[in-house]
Amino acid sequence: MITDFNLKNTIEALLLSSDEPLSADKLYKIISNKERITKADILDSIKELEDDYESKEIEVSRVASGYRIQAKKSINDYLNIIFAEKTPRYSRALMETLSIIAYKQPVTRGDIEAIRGVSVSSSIMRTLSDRNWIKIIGYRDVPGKPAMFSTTSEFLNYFGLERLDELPDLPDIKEPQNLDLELDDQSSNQNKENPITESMLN
Amino acid sequence: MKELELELAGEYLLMAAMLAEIKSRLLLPIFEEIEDEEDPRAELVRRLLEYERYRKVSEEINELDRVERDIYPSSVETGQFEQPLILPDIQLKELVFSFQEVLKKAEMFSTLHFTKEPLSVKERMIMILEKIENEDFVKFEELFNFEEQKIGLVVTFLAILELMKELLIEIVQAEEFGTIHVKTLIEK
Repeated sequence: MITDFNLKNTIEALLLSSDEPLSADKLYKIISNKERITKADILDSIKELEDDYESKEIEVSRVASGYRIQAKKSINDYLNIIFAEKTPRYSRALMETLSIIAYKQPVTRGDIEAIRGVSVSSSIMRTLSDRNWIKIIGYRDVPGKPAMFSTTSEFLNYFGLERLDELPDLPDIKEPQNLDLELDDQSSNQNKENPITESMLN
Repeated sequence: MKELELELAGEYLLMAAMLAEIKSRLLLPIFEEIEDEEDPRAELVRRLLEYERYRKVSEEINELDRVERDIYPSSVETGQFEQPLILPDIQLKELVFSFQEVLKKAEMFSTLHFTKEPLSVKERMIMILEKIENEDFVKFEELFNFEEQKIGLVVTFLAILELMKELLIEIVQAEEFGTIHVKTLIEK
């Protein structure tokens, strides 16, 4: 059907047209329907595409669900102007909840509450599910059968990551040896930050 | 507080009790002998520090590049393709026709089998889900095991209908009289 079939151009068009990133496997499945190609051909062509883009302001990026073509960061100054109004903002509470799920998954609401010290807001959980960043992967076998949440590949895609271990390391904070000394130092700045103490004051 | 929020009130009471315990322990004179007793504030500090780890890392994640702010996936307009994407509705009779073909094929295998197999639609549903779980599209016929007796094929057909009803699978046919494909709707 397609005369002078060009795999590289086909992949480029598919990546540009698709709303979601496409994996090499998926590209192979789509294209091998019509053309005799191997998976290695796909990977070679993607490499060629990457080389082509070196002189352009777009690039092929690899994220959790596969490859996508995106603008290079070098033109973000312009793009930020175009998309300024569309940039959603997320609250600190939402980012903390998301972080706890990402690092401690699978977690239940109770696990999140134990760390944050305040009850989990349903609207935050709904936003995270609506954005497809978290999903229920099962129910813990304890009384009440609470749902366990994990993050999704859409979450990684959104943050431009391929795997969970690319997230920043969870900082290790040493337990103070001498509480009397340490507490005097820290009490002033910790009080206003922490929801546990926050809720005490309200 | 208009409504009685027992859970919240309980949390406050627990925290107040904990703070009162800490305070009273600190007021007690310290004897050298009970040196190894844990500082009453330690548990509270541990919780604060654990929270602090996630608070810090959430700030880092907030700074990561993200779509809609720092990453801009490129796309081209695909509007002109939207028409063919509307797949024809499959009439029940087409499914039945397709099933009749399955039965016809099955007749070729219908030599003498007399063993009774206990068949459950539920179980068959799970088998189908497992079969199509990792595939994008599976041919309708591929879901049938032609070596089974007619009853087995019927159970498979019922299972497919049941899965459709529960919106766990989707059935698509790209063109008239074309192959019917089955696709899972379960998020992976």
